[in-house]
Amino acid sequence: MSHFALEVDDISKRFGGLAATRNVTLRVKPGERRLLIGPNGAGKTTLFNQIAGDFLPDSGAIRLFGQEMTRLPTKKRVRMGLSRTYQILTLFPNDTLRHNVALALLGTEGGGWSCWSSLAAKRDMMARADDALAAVGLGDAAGREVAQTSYGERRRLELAMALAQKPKVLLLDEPLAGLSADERETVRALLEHIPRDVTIVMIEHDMDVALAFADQITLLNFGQVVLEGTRAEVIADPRTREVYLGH
Amino acid sequence: MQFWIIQTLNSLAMGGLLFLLSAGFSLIFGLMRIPNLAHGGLFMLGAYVGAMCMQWGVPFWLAAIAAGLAVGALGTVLEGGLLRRMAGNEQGQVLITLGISFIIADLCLLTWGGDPVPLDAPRMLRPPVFLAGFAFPGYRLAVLAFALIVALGLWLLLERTRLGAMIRAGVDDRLMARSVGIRVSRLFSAVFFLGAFLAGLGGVIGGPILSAYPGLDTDMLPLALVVVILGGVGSLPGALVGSFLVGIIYNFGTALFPDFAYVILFLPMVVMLVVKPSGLFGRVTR
Amino acid sequence: MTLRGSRFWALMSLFLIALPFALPSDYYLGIATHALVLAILALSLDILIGQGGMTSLGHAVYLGLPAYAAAWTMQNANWPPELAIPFAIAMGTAVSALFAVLSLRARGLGFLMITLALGQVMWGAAYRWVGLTGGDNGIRIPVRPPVLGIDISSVRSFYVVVALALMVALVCIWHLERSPFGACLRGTKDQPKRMNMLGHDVWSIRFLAFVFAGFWGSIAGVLYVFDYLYVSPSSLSLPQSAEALLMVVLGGAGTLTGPVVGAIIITVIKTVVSSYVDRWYSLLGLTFIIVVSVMPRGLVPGLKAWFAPKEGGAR
Repeated sequence: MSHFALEVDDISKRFGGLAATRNVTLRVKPGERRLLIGPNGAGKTTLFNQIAGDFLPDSGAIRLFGQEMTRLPTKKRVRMGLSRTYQILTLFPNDTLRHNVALALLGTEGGGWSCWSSLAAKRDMMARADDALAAVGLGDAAGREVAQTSYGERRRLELAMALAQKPKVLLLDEPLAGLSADERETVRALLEHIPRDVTIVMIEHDMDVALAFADQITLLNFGQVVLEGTRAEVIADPRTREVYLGH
Repeated sequence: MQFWIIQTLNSLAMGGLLFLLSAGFSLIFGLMRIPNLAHGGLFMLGAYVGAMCMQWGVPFWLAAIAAGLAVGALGTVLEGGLLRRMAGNEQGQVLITLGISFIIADLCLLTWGGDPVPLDAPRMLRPPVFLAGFAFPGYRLAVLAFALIVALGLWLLLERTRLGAMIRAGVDDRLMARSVGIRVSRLFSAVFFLGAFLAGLGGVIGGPILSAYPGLDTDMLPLALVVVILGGVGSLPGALVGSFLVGIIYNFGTALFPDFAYVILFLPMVVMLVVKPSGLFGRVTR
Repeated sequence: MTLRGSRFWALMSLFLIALPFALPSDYYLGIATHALVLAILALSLDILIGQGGMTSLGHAVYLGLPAYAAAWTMQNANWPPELAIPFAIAMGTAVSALFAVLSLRARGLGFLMITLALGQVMWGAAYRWVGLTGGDNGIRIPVRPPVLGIDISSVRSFYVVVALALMVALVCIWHLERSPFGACLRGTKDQPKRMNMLGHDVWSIRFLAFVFAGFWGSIAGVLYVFDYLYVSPSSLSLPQSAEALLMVVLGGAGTLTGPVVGAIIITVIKTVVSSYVDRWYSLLGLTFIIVVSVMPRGLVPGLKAWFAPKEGGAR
């Protein structure tokens, strides 16, 4: 058993002539909060997509708690304890918040093949969905349709769906994108409260929140890792300024 | 031996015809993202209009051009009048083209009746051509040659002209095309005209082989679908190769296994879907 | 919200029970029977369209193929209906599984194109394989045979069979809609990528939905051949698939009432029109264009939005 929660081992991916990921290696310890930063097009989301299994890397390996998952389909990775939120909201707009979370629970627990029983009558699942919503402060809104909620509430629903799956490793793709200052504070507090048995890898541009949250920071540019270190190290390193300011 | 040579030639002529039908279908699909289900109807309408012109004494080639222009104009009107209002709702657009195809079929039946209307080949192409001791039907050779000329013309249009560059850009990436200032709606009209024109023209060119009859549209549309599934959406070389493949399979299938010709035709499509769903030359993912 | 729960079931049962008493003659009850058979077909297609977001233009396969299978085995192989019916349904469902594998290689309009092409294959086979299918002449059944010893030869008794089948189909599809599977299927319609990321097997969900649709379509197919006592290539044709699609789109996809309403309206229009003029296809095409451009969501949701109380202050 490896002592890393998530291990990305020297992966590369090309799209036609474009090298989207170049020899990227990440080793994230259990319970760690890892922040991925880098300018637009640095390959952060592409890296997430490969960890999640949307497409396969051309070379290299990805392991979750030492278990090989480089070529596994996404659903197997989810069963192994991987969850993810999206930068662009991907919710089920015509369904209630409760059913949105229920779909997340059905994804990890199974039970989605039942064609006769009523979903609403799955009391236990509904109760757990409500708990997950209450945990992000949406307890009162469980019966509302997504279409009737505010953008900030939807961001929190994204988080509730991922957390309801009780992931071991959680990939957060810009969980603060598009939020107002107040809502940022709410989500920041929620992220703080995620227990340490969940390992988190986060992409975020809001440095005030993200830097305070992260244990370790990885700076990506042009699809490769530029440097990696603690908050203080990365801020102090001249290469950080270079990537963000220089050309 | 005679059988194989004649059937091969028939296959190639059929492939040429199919190219006239599917080139436009494929370009419209590639650019507008919709399979124009009225395309078979436009082909049939072209055949009837051509037959009508020839009954009035218009010579074959002129009738073919006239039918192409008439059908092309109709296509432009339909695109501008019905489809453009539904921009963004691609499924709605497809259902509208389906509706149009039913109306065209019914109005053709109303106007020209249920009996097949024959179209005569131009007199100079009627006698067989003798080559290496074999007699070839001259008209089929001419169809093949004509289709290849059209293919060359289309290729030049797409590769060498500004309009072609815009169409290619649109097929590859519509948003990108719009963002570099291409008036996409005009491009749609142009491509729809071109596609409908070729379909109408193809109807007349195919007339001496197929004649014009009710049901020609639903016979031809699936062939165009198969060509595009084989060749790849929005690809001219794909349409050409796909057309000849389908032409060969259809002809030999009909000659050798008449009961199953239609089923055999779809087998390569099935194989392609399993092996490479984007088609031989497909760039656009469906 | 759609008309759900006890009110819906009470109204639907009342409607089906009242119909034979309300209609003036067996002629009209016969037309009602045709409409209800097609309503089952439309409901089955709506599993794909309304729940799964997969628009098929080849759904007539599951009407015509089981109809042929039942007619052929009973007429040419002298099978009893008790054997022919399950065989026909199994065959239709099996073919739907095969076609699902092929069609699900593509999404959206590619899916539509492949279903259309596969539908044409079956049509072509029925039309050209004269030795098996009788070609354009089709297969005729002289009289409606009794099933399980029950005489269903009269118009009224057969209406009861079809009405019961429709009720069973409605109940099953209603259950499907509110089941976990239904929720997953609608999830794959709105957000296939997210469903995948949540750990669902999107392909298998779609596959199962396709097979469900094929199964209920096959039930409609068997009823169809018992209803008309005749099957011909037109039952497998593109216009037949298009009609089924129009019923769903006209009535309203994603509702239980919509496909039934759509089937009744289209059947009535078709019957009325073809008794006056022979321009059904023009009208079919015109209806398509009007429905899609004027009422894209369909009659039932459209009317509900019309009658629903306007958005007030209360949320």
